[in-house]
Amino acid sequence: MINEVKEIPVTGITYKDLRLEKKPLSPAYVPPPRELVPSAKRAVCIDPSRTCMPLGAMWATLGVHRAIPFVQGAQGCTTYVRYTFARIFREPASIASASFHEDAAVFGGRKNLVRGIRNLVCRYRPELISVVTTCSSEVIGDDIQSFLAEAQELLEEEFGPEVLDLTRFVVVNTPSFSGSHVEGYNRAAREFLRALARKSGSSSERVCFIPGFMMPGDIRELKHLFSLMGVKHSVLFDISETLDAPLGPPQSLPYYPRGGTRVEEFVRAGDAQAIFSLSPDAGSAGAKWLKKRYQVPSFVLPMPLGVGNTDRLVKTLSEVTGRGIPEEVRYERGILLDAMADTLHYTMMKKVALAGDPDFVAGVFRFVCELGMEPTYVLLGTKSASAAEEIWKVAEEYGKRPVVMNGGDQFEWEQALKEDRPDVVLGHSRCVNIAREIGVPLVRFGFPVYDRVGYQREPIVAYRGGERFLARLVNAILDHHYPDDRTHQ
Amino acid sequence: MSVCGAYGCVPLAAKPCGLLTEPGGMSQRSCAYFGARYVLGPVKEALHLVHGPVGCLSYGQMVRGQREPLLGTATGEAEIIFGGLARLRRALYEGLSLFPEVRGAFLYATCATGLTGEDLSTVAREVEEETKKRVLVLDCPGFSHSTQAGGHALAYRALSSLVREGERAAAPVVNLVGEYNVAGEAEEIVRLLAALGVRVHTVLTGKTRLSEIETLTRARLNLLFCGSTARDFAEDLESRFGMPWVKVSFYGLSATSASLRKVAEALGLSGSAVEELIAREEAGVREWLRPRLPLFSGKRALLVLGAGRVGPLARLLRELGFEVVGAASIFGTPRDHEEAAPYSGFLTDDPGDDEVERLLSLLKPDLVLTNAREVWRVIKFGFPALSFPQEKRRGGYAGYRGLLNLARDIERVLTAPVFRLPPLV
Repeated sequence: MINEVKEIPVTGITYKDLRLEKKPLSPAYVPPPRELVPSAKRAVCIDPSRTCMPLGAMWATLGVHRAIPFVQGAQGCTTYVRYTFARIFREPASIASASFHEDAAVFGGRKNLVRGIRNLVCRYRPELISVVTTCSSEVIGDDIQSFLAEAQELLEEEFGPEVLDLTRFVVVNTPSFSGSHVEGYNRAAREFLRALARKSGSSSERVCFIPGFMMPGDIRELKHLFSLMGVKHSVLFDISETLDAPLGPPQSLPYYPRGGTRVEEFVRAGDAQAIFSLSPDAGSAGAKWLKKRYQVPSFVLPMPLGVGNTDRLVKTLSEVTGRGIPEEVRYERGILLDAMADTLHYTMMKKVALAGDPDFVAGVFRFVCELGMEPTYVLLGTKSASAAEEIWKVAEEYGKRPVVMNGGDQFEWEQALKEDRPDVVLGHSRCVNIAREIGVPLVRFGFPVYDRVGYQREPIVAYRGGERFLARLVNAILDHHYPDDRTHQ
Repeated sequence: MSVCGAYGCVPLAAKPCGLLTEPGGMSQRSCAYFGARYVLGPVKEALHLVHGPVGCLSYGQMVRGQREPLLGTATGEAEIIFGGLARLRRALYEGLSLFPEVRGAFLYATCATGLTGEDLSTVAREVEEETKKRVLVLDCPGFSHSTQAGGHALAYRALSSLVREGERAAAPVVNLVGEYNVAGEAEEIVRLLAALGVRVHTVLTGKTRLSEIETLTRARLNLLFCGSTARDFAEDLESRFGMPWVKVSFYGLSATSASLRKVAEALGLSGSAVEELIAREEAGVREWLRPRLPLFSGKRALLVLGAGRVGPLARLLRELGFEVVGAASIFGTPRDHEEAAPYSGFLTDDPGDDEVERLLSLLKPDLVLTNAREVWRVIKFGFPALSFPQEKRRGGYAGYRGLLNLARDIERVLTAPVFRLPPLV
């Protein structure tokens, strides 16, 4: 009797056996010695999925209106980052260098900073200058605060005392030999608030947000969500208009895009109703500092990627502001759910490998679990205890058993992918080579994405962004021919 | 529109070459490490290892379109405080066992390890003795030179130390020196030389490997392309091995033809074969160009480019009928400016962002040729711009076919409707 059959026997070829063996690219291919694959057991680092701290501080600064980062280091520290921004955003990014030469290495960077600040103020009239240190100035031991005091004194002498009202200064210590760009952004978030935020006593209904390395499109999507919810908001480090500006001759020179967070918004942050860090590793230090100093309620939430993460943001916002969740938000959420249900045959049980910055990966990890995908190898380019914890929590919730490489390099991750091929790779542009080699589609997200046009404008966060991201993911799977998969016939 | 700063107006003046960068001047110049990576990036059969923080490793992967894998020590606080040579030694051995096929290794120093005073050469010598592979140290901390040119020189000095004396080939064989194979440009040069019966031994450093560099002396002649980066290298090979060299340029019709004649003369090839090739190639190009020349004629061009390319491209644009109203090098030498001066109007070096902006608004060029960083500013201002290096799929700009590519790209930029759509009123 059919009722007596406890388990339907499955016979035939299993999914795993159907997989085509990857042919090595050349007959000379030799797999690396096994003991050298895990990055923790090596001194050598190959293809890191992170870069150094100053980039994070520069990124944050470029989200401020008429702000220029002044990088206390050699010229390369600036040029490389400018090139990175140019590739990602296809926008000009003005970043000044202290131009360290041998004399600075011998005598320190005092002269460079004093003269550099003077030139910058004189030639560019910025409203804010962030002094970003590098490994050189940190190894030399430059006393930035006293150099800056001297520079300000000279500015007052030359241009009159009002010049210091027009230009504010923030010092961000970012020694490149520790942490990564994520930590650099985190430090910048704290230092900007520490230098600028004040409490006037009159409370405001405004809620502040620190977006982390979100793209202009993501920030716009967040603003849309906040408007729907009727939340008065300030996005701190708002690159949505500074690194995505329309074409057109500028009204005056030097050129500054119209957008960016105003200095006053940082000043008023002390009065804010709450501060949200939407990228735990990049920005939470600022939120925590504001809470400690001015008792502003602070919330550190995972990046709002997918349903659950966005739900958490919406619910928390609703609790903090006392406003209900409007119908329009539920409608957008419904559309995301509809899209997920429509496409479940393409996503369910697909093996996915993830790589990138901890905040992005932890956020997307929950989303891919919600889609019913099987996350296999997860690379956190920057070591992060909180992201790993979040990933394990989600994994337990959904019964997944991923391999998490916390702070590893891409070499380690790629070796794992070569031996156990996923169906799709979710990662940044530096995952192109491995995706091509193992012959699976790559869906790009996170930092850095430089080989797509318009990526920076297309959101991946919140409900609508999630729907867009899902569509990209499914289309990538549809575009790719699976020899062993008949789902899209 | 105001083009003047509020506090102290800095007049827009032509700057001579060779000045140190002014701090805070928003220069586009880079560091010595960048220069060394630029030259050595694609050298095959070598292990490339950066001794420094993870940023230098990460950014060192961005130079040049094609490159070999880059490894690094990703030094942390412990190495800065207690010294990182032990880590470097371990990393080097690990790298050599991960890539056992390499013939040698390049070790790059960076600011951090330069400042802590690490002596990379002791590790290099040790490993060299043990593994019998060449380990070359690039002493290129970012602060050590005023621009990337210092790094270029260091890199070529390292390559030069690899070259061994050998037997000259009897057949006409040449090396391309200072040719970086941007978007496959070397292919066209090799094609033209092959048409003359000249074989190319190696392309430094666009398409080369250590074994080819070691046997450079097999060639009878060095063709020097980029004078800014590789002139010393060519001179060095001449003095050490008596290898003659000629300066050539394959940018533009007259320059390509003149260079082919020079090569033929230096190798003692038959003049008639060269003239035949030139006549055939030039005829095709001229025919293709003729209907397009009225579009280029009298248009105003502005160049903001590295160093060695300013002169050749200014000449090329003049040849196409452009008026070069301004040219700015990023880290030019007096020689580069001498080359560019006859063809260009305003000539300056190391322009800051504000100077580029004022150049644009004062000169109002019809076409701007610039690098991949600054091109976005130019476009933002609404000026048609073409960036170097170009994408590979658009093809190289060298030689006769390259000129057609370039002319086609310029035509696209000049005729793109986006720059002249009627404003919304």
